[in-house]
Amino acid sequence: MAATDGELVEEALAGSEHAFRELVRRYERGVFGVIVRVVRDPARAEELAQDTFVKAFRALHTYDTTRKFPSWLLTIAHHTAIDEVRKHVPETSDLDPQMADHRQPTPHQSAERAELAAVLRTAIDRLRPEYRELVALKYEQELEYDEIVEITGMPVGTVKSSLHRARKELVDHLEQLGWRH
Amino acid sequence: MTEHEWDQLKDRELDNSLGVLFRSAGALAPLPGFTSRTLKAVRRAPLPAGRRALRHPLVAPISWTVLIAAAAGALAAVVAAHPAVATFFASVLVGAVRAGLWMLHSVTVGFVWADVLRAIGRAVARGIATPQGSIGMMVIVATAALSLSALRRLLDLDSTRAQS
Repeated sequence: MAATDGELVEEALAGSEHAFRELVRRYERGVFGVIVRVVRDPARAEELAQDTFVKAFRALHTYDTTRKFPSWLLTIAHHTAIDEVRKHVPETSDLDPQMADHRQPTPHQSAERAELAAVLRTAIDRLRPEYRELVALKYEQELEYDEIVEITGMPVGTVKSSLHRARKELVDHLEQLGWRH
Repeated sequence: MTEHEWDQLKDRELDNSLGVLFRSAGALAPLPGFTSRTLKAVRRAPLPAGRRALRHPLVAPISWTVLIAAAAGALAAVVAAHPAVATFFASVLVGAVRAGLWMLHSVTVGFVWADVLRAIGRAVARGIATPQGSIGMMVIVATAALSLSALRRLLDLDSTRAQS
C-alpha cells in the first residue's frame, strides 16, 4: 500500500530523500499547473514550482498533519506566484504543447487534447490573474470551496462570487472560440 | 422553480461542463526531469537549525558496505599477524556454523512434526465433514474405544493372576 502524505512528511523530516521525491512526484503537476496559470510563462513557472518545493521542504517541520498536504503546498505555491505577479507583470508566452500531461495513450487522443488545451489556454489567458488562479484551483485541481479559501486566504463569499464571475467570463471566451457546452 | 434556483441549476451544469472540458484537456505538467532538478535544488537549500538534510538513498547501503569492508580488512590484518588469533577465530567460526546447523535441523524437525499434525487435523476435519466420513470416524473411534477397554481388561486379568 502507498504511504500517506503524512507518513512521507515524517520520513522526509527524518532525512529520507526517497520520501520527499515521492511528494514532489505526487504534486508537481498541481503546483506547476496553478503557477503557470497565474504567471503564464512556463519556464518561469517551472522555476517558481521548484522554489515552492524548496520552501515547502524548509518549512516542513511547521506542517500541521491535521491539514491536507496538497492544500498546505498549494498555499505556498499561491504566495510564490502572487509575489511574482506583484514584482512584475510577466510577459505572455505560449504554453508549450509539450507541457500537456505526458501520459497520453494514442496520437489521435493526443491531438484532440492538444486542441482542447489550446482553446482552454486562450480562454483562460483572457481572464485576469486572480480569476485564472481560481479557475485553475477549482477546475484543474478540482478543489472544494473551503480548500480554495484556505489556499488563497480570501473570504468564502469572495471566492464564490469571484468564481461565479470567472466562470461566466471563461464560458463567454470559450464560446467565442467555438466551444459549446 | 424560482429564478434563483434556476440560476443555481445552470451554474451546476456549467460547473460540470467545465469540469469535463478541463479533464479532457489533460493536466499541465512540467518538463521531464523536474523532480530530479527540484531535489537537487532542495539539497542545496540551507536548512533551519535542528533540521536534518536529505540523504541520498544510496548513502546508507554504501556506508554499510564500507563499514563491513573495513571490519573485514582489519580482521584479516590481525589474523595475518597472529596465527593464534586465526586458530581461535577458526574454532569460533566452526562452533557458530555447527550451532547454526543444529538450529536449522531442530527447526526442520519442528516443521515436519507440525506438518504431520496439520495433515492429521485436515484429514479429521475432512472426514467429519461428509456423512460417510462421519460414520467412518465413529467406527474408528468405537474400535479404538473397544480396543482400549479390551487391553485394560487384559491388564487387569494379568495383575489379578500375578497377585494370586
